[in-house]
Amino acid sequence: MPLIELRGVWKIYDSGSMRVVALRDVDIDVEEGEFVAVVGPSGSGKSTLLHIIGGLDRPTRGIVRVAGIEVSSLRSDTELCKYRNELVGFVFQMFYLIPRLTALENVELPLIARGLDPRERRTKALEALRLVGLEHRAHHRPAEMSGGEQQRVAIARAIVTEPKLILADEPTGNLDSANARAVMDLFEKLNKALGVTILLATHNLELLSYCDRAIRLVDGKVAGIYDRERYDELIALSSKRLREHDST
Amino acid sequence: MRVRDYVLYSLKSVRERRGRSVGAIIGVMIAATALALGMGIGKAFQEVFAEYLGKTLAASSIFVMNAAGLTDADVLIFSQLPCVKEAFGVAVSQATVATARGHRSVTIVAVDPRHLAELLGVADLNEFVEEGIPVPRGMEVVVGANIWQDQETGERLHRVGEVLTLRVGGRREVSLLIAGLAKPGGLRGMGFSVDDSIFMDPEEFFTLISRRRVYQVAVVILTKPEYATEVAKQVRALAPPRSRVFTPIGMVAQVEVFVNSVGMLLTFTSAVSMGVTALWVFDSMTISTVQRVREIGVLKAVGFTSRDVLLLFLTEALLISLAGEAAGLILSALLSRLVYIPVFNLRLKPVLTPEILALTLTLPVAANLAAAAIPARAAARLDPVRALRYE
Repeated sequence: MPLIELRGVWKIYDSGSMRVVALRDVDIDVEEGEFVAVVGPSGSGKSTLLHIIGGLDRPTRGIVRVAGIEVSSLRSDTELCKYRNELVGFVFQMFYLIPRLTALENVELPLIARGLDPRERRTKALEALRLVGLEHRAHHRPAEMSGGEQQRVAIARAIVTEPKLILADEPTGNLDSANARAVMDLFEKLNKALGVTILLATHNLELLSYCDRAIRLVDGKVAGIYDRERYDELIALSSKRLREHDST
Repeated sequence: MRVRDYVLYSLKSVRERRGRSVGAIIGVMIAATALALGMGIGKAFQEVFAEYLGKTLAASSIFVMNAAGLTDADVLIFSQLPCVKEAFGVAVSQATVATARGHRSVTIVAVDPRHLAELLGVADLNEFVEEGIPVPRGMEVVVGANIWQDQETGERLHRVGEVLTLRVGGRREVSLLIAGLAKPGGLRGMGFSVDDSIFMDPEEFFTLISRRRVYQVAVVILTKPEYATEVAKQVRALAPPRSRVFTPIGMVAQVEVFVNSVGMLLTFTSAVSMGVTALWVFDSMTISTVQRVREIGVLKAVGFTSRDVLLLFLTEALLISLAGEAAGLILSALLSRLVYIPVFNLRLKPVLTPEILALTLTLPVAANLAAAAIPARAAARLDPVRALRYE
């Protein structure tokens, strides 16, 4: 049974005068332990897809199942929060660390939500920071760290609960190439060593080398699913679309 | 989430917005102080003043004052009125007594010994004296505390058995025997200072001090306090011209109005302060919510429930309120020792009872929590996706 299973998922934003279809009849399966990229141009629905899988947003129609839980049918705030806390780790482009908290305190946040004993959560948070190589920066605030370090702290926050799934939305979008590589190496390590399933939304096709598969979204629809052997085809297709976009 | 974590997380947020937090804390402190003192003054009046007067002669009596003097006939007429238990005259005269620091003024009070206890508002006359006998006969006198001891040092200036020489009506000197030393008393039934008075027998008073047998005050004692207004009308009609007739109940009512006004003013100050602080908290929390939209999104993404977010914001308001309350209660405790309203010889100091402290603790906290509830609910209801996309 796949870890992530999407069947006929639609997401329509209806604000009265405007109707925007973000996802159209999306069917996706992701196996446990896979590292999958979600690629596509801006507005293609990558972030929406991640938000729906992560239980931050609800699909308008369709079924979303993660680790056997039918996320699309979770209604109560408590159920959704428990799901997000226990099964999913989020990593965002802008890191979204809380400025007044130290790296350690930021990493502890999901464990605070879980109501864990302070000593236990400190041990776990330090372990997560050690895993991302930032144990020595535990008591520094985000403003005292580089972008790469901040993103690694964000990754530590995502993995501290030992989730089955990490949803990374353009995690390297705000980093230079060296830091981007460091972050991707870290994702690869988590995926390979800990078996964490990673779904990575990105514009950057250079990152495909880290991924087992790539799902291409265009206008909210799955336009193709590519394995490593077909990455060249995907890169060529994306470059062509980019050229078309530039000429118009 | 654990309670401790709500507190610690909120504390960090309060510290981050130090300026606004301090402003709100000061507001709560002013509100709590004004509220405690306002209610404390009212309580002090009830406990110290009203209750005291109610227990003494004052509650069921009428006073008639006339500068030209009231005769025994006037007193007799008053005593014959319906609902009057009895009436008696009090002769009063000013004199001076020589001290090491020069002459000081004293009031000579002459009242029939049968009525002395009523006049002084004591059940037992032995409560009245520190030393010696309470009822002076012949040339004996009982002297007030400010006369027999130094007000500043407490040094004893006169003893029982000594001769006290008074200067009356200019140059005439009268020597009297000290038979009793009155306890420091403050206010008594009529509202005069016992501490600055000398008590003596009326017969001797009309021989040695004043040759005219007239009283400056007549006290009319009623069978029941509720007849005071009606009997006062009759006394006013029968009293000699230019007499002043007043009931202590009326006087107490006037003082009560004054004290209540002070209390109301303080309570009003407290209400305004509470309102301003609540608005401040509302404003501060609203700004905080707007500034922390993305943070709220992150919290929800990592598993904080809407209830957690709501409680985090409310805890911030609670911490600010409690800090202000603590400062306000300390300030109230200090001011309740230093601040007083002088009423006759009494110093009306705010009384901080457990009920007043409980109200002082509850009201500003409730006002601030109510003010914080609106932005806190808005924060709790934020859609995580919108919050994360917020620029």
